[in-house]
Amino acid sequence: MIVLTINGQAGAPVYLGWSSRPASLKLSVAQPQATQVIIKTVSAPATGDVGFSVNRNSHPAATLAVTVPANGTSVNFFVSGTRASTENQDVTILVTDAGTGATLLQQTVMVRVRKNANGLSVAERNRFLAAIAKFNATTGTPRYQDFLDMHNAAANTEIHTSSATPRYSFLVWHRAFILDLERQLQKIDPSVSLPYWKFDEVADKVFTADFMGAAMASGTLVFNASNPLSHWAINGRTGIVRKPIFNVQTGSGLDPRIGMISEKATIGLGTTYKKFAPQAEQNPHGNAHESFSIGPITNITTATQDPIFYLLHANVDRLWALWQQVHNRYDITSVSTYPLKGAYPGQGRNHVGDFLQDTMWPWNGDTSHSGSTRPPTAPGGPFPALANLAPSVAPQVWQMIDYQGYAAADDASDVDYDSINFNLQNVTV
Amino acid sequence: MNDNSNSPDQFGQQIDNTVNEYKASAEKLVQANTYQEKEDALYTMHYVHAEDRKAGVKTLQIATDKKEVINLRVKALQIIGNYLYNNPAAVKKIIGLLSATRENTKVKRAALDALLAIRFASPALLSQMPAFREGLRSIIHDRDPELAAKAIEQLAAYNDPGVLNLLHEGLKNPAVALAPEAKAIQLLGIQHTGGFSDTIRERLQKSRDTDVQIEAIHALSGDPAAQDDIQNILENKSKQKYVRLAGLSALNATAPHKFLESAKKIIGDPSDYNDVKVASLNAIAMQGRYNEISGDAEFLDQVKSLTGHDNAIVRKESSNFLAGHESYLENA
Repeated sequence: MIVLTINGQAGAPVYLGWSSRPASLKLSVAQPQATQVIIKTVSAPATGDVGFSVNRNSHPAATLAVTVPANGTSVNFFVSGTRASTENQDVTILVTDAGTGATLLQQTVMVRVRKNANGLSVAERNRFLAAIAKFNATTGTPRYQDFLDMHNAAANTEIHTSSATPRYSFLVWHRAFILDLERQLQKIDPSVSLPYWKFDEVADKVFTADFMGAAMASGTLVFNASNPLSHWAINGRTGIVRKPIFNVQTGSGLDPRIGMISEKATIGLGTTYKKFAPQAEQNPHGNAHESFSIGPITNITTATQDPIFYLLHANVDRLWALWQQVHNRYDITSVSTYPLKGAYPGQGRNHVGDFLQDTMWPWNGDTSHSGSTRPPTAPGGPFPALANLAPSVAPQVWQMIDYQGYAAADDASDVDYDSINFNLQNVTV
Repeated sequence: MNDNSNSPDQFGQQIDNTVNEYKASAEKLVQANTYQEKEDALYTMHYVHAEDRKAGVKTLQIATDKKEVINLRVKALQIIGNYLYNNPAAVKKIIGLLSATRENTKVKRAALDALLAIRFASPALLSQMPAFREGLRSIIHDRDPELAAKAIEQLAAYNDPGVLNLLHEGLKNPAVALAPEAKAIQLLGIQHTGGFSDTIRERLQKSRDTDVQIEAIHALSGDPAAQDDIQNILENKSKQKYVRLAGLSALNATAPHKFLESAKKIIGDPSDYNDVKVASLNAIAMQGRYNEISGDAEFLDQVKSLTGHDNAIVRKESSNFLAGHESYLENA
């Protein structure tokens, strides 16, 4: 019998993005001769697909011929998504005998990437809505309340710039924050990934009664009866208020009253993180929050009360990821990728949590750091870490930067965007 | 190799073009003297770069100079945001436009929009919040209703006691109302301080306006004294759909047992509306409250009968509900 291992697991449902993940084949029982096999997939045009390569820096191919050693040792290769899935486990990897064509093993896979919310299928949209509504209704630990408490008034100076000194960890911390939420949703439905609201384009399918809510004249949202968000409640209080300034059918954050800069202008803010991140925190990030004239999303201390927060921040994170791709900023030793090296020195203008080797609140449980301030509580507990993937239970700043794992496969964090590929040949790490 | 249709190299070239176009327009603006030159430059720029001091100073000068043509001043205010973010002196000047006497309404509107656009992440505005709120207070009775409405909305969101009291007075005496009734209730409910609950409850009982009823239900959703009123609305088939759906979510959030009583009546009533049946099933399923209905054979039979309903959404929701219940039984 042949055993296929992907991401260190055999037999379990597999979730992949674009980045190459380690895989191996071996015989469970030694045999007299090695077995020649072909690895390929079965997938329909509208479903996901994966490819295979011998080296991490090779383009994945649709098929791979492999010799599985007779003595039961493993033969290693890599597998990566080549087309995004629309349903859970909609790709099947087949391992067939090279001589007879007989199927020796089948393994289902989902190519799970973050997609533009405006282009989701009805099924994808409904799975996301059900998962986040269920998480909002969860009374165990962690709860949705933890995500409110991680982004409240007490947390503000830890996670945002609020003075003349930039909080360089803004992008880094929010990358971890939304990944934490996404992993909570995936515990409820593993096929879910966070969609992003591309706020500089028309998103006419997003601000509707069957998705993120349609605003009445006052700005209070209404939902269709079957939309799980119609039961959204925060501290026993119902009714989400979110009044778009832009015309939801024809407009976007580029409306002159909002003053948001475009995606291209965002990527052009600067070629170093030190230039890019503080400006992007303000515009487009701040302006995106202020694309609405009223509602919790317009205020730092209440923004996470509105689930649109996660779609907005998925796009902020995507813009950073796009900037990283365009400017080749994955090498954590480069000051252009991230300016503050080492660990917090115990003094100075920058804060603890801003340095590459620092661990991040609240996942590290640190509420009383010497020489710098941190919020008085650490809600939510450790980060929901996954085997063979970053970050760890107490994420460090550097772990959130090379999120696709260019430097090493184990540095990847199981996050990819539909429009940002993985190409080791073009990247310096 | 994947869904990405735009190669990094092509995209990088587009970024370079965007940056170069900005530099050319900003240079034109700095050099502009005539109306035409200023208009040409301003209307090709979508923003002023935060670190572009020369363009920022020129844009601020156009925005604040009463001798400039109004449309140029408005356009300057629409693109100046990035320059304001970290510039307290510039923010102070824009705040000053709000309360300036005999200032043009379009300029005031654009000034307020510019300030609101940066308020989430601007240390410069954060340091001047008292002055900003004072500027907002100066326009709550402005002759321009749009400007006044925006200022009222913002001050209420900041929990400004003066505006909240005026809104409250307006609910009791429409002759002095600062905002439409539904809007006033929404704004009074934002901070859910509870001090306005009696008045809002009275409006819920007396108003026939559906927007007012929806806002009142949400504003009272955390108020135990309103549970009976909200339950009556949920069970009242003559009420408008979105009013009942608001009542459903409010009762579900604050009095789940009362909600379950009502939901069972609604599911079992063949004459009740499909949307309310669907939302009732959805609410129970989303909260995983199968343990509370699992022993109720009559209710489960009623749900089963809905799987043959002539409405597709009712069929789907009831089938999902029963699938969730089966899953619950398997794991129990």
